[in-house]
Amino acid sequence: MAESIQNTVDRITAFITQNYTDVETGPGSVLSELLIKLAATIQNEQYNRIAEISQSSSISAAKASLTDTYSEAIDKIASNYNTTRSSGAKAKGKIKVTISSSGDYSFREGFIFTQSALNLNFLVTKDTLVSLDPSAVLEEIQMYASQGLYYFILDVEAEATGEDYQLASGTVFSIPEKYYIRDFVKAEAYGNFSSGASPETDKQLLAKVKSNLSNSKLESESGIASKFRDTFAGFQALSVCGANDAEMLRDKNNILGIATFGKADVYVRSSLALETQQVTKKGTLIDPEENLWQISMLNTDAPGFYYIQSIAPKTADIDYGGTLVIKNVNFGYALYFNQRNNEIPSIAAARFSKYQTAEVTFTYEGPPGETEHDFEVNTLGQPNILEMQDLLLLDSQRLACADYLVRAVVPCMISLKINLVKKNPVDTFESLNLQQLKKDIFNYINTLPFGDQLHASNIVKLCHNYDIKHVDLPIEMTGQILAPGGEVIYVNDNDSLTIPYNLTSGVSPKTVGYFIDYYRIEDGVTQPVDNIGINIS
Amino acid sequence: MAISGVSSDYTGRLKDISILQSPDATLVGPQDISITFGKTAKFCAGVQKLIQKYTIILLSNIGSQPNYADFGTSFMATIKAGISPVDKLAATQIFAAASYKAVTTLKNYQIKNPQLPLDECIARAELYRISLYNSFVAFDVKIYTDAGDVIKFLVPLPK
Repeated sequence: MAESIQNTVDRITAFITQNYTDVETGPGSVLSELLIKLAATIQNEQYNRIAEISQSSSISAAKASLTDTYSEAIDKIASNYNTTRSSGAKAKGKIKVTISSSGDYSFREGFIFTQSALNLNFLVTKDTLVSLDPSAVLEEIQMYASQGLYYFILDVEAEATGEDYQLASGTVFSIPEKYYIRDFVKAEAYGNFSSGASPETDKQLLAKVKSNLSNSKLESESGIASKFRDTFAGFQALSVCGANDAEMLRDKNNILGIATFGKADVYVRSSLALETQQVTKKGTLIDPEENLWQISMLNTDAPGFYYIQSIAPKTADIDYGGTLVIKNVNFGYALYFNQRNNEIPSIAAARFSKYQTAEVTFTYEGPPGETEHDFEVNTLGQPNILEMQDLLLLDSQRLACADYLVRAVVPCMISLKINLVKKNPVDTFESLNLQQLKKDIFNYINTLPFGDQLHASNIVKLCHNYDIKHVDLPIEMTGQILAPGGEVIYVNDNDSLTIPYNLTSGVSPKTVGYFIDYYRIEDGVTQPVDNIGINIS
Repeated sequence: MAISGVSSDYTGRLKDISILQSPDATLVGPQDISITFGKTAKFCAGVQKLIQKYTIILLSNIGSQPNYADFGTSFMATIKAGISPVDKLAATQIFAAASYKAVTTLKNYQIKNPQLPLDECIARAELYRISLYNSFVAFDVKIYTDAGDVIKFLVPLPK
C-alpha cells in the first residue's frame, strides 16, 4: 500500500525520537527542515516504488483481488511475454438528427448527445458542417429533406470506453441543457453502434499471458482464441466444433455420409452485441407491375451477416422511415476466385461465413421509367468474419491438414420483462439508478459463455445490487434463435433459458450465443419496447 | 544568535542544533551573517530554540521544499525583489504578513503538542523597529511566549 509523504515523515520522526529522546523535531527545527523532510522526500519515493513492485508483481495477489486492478507492474510483466493490455475501445456509431427547418448547421467536435434512460453520452467526433448543398472540398455533410422535415447524420463515439455503450438502431437521444440545435425535432441512432470494450483488468491480462504461453499455434480452440484476441479488438469468444462433435456435419459430405475428419467449424463472437454494417448497392427493377426490385449482396459486401435490417433508397428527398418492404431473401454462397477457400457443401454451411451471398427482393415505387437505383442496405452481424477466416487460411498460419471454417455465432436474441417492487414509495427509475441495472443485465447476457444457460436467478441477483424491496417473479425470458438453415426457433422460460439441440438446423449450445439489445427492432424500426423491460411498482 | 536578559534551566528539554550564531546583537549596523552549523557545534533550547524555529520558518521561501509547498513565507523573496528605502509602511506590511504565517505554523504545532514548555510556545511576534537604508534593511522583533517572556531580537537577513 502506498505511503503518503506525511506517513514517511512520521515514520522517520518516530525513529529519531525513539532513539534520541532529547531531539527537537517540530516544524522549523533544524532536524525537521534539513534532515527529516529531505530524507522523507527520498525515502517516500523509494518506499512506494518497492511497495508497488512488491504488491503488483505478486501475480497471485492481483488474481485474488476482489476489485478490478490496473497495475503498471503487471503491464511490465506481461510485456516480457510479448503480451500487452488492451486499453479498451469506445463504441462508435451514427446519429440521425431531424430538424424542422433547412439551413447550414455546424457542430464542434465534442458536441454531446445523451441517452438519458441509460445515462450514456456520445460525442461528435470532429468539427462538422451540414448543408443542403455540401461542399466536397470542405467535407461538409449532406442535409436531406424528408416529409416536410430535414435530417442529417453525424458520426459519434462514446464518451468513455466500455461495453455498455453499444446501442441499437433507433435509440433516442436528447441534447443536454448547455447544448443547442436550432429547430431540433429528434435524434436517434442510425444503425447499431459498434462494440465498445473496457480496458483489460490485471486478471484478464494475466489470463492472456497464460493463454499466450500455452497457445501460440492455431491448432486448438484456445490457440485460435488467443490469436483472435490479440488481432481483433472487441473479440469475445469462440467455440470450435470438429472431429467427432455432433455439430460437425460438414465432414460427412461424401458419398458414404461418414465423417472424414480434418474439418472444424469455428463459431466466433467477435463483438459484444450485434453491429450494423451499411453498404450502398445498385438495385434493379425486375417486375415493374409489382414494383419489385432486386439487389445482390456479394460475399464481400457484409461478410457473414445475420439478416438485413433495412433497405432505403439513397436519395436526398424521400424518407421511407424504417425500411422498404423486403419480400424475399435468398441466401447462397460464392467462393473467392484465385484464393484458398474452405470446402462448402451447402448453403446452410455457408451461412454466417465469409462465403455467404444473398439475393434480396423488395418493393419500391421509384420515379417512372427508372430501372436502376442506389439503395442503402443495413445489415446486422458480427464484424471481422472475413478477416478472421483469411487469418486461418494464411499459408504461414494455417494447419495444413485441416479445414477451419469461420462462422459468426448463431444468434439467440433475448428479451426480458422484469418487475421490481420498490422499498420506498418515492423511489423512481432514476433515483434507484436502474439505468445502470440495464447496463449490468446487458453485460451479463452478452458475455455469457458458450454452452451456458441464462438463469433468471442471476438476473434477480443483479437486481438486488440496487435498493429495491424484491423482484416480482416470474421473470419472462424469451429468445429467438436465427438458425443457419433459415428457420427461427423460439425459446422461453421463467427459470432458465437453454439452447436446444437441433443439429440439422445447426443449433446447439456449442454454436449459439446469447445477444440482447437495449431496445427492440422490428422491420428496421426501433419499437417503443425495451428488450430489457424493467417495471417498478 | 545573541539574545540578552533571559536565563533558564534547560535540563531535560528537547534540543535543537543552533545554526543562528549571528548577528551579534551588541553591535550596531549591518553585519555579514550566514546560516551555518558553526565552527563549534552548539545546541539550543528554550526561547533561543523558539526564535530559531520562528526565524527558519520566516526566512524559508514558500515552495522551496519538495512536498511541502506551503512551508515558509514569501518574506525573503519579496525583500530581495527590492523595496523602497523610504517605504516603511510597505516593509512593515511585508513583515506582518510573513510573520503571521510563521507564528500560525508554530501555533498549529503547539496545539497538537500541549506538553511543550510554555517558554517554547510562541504567543505573538511584533515588529518594534525597522531600519531601511539603501543597501540593507533590519527588522527588530519582539517575541512573546506563553510563559510571559518578551524577547527582542534582530532578524538575521542574508546579504
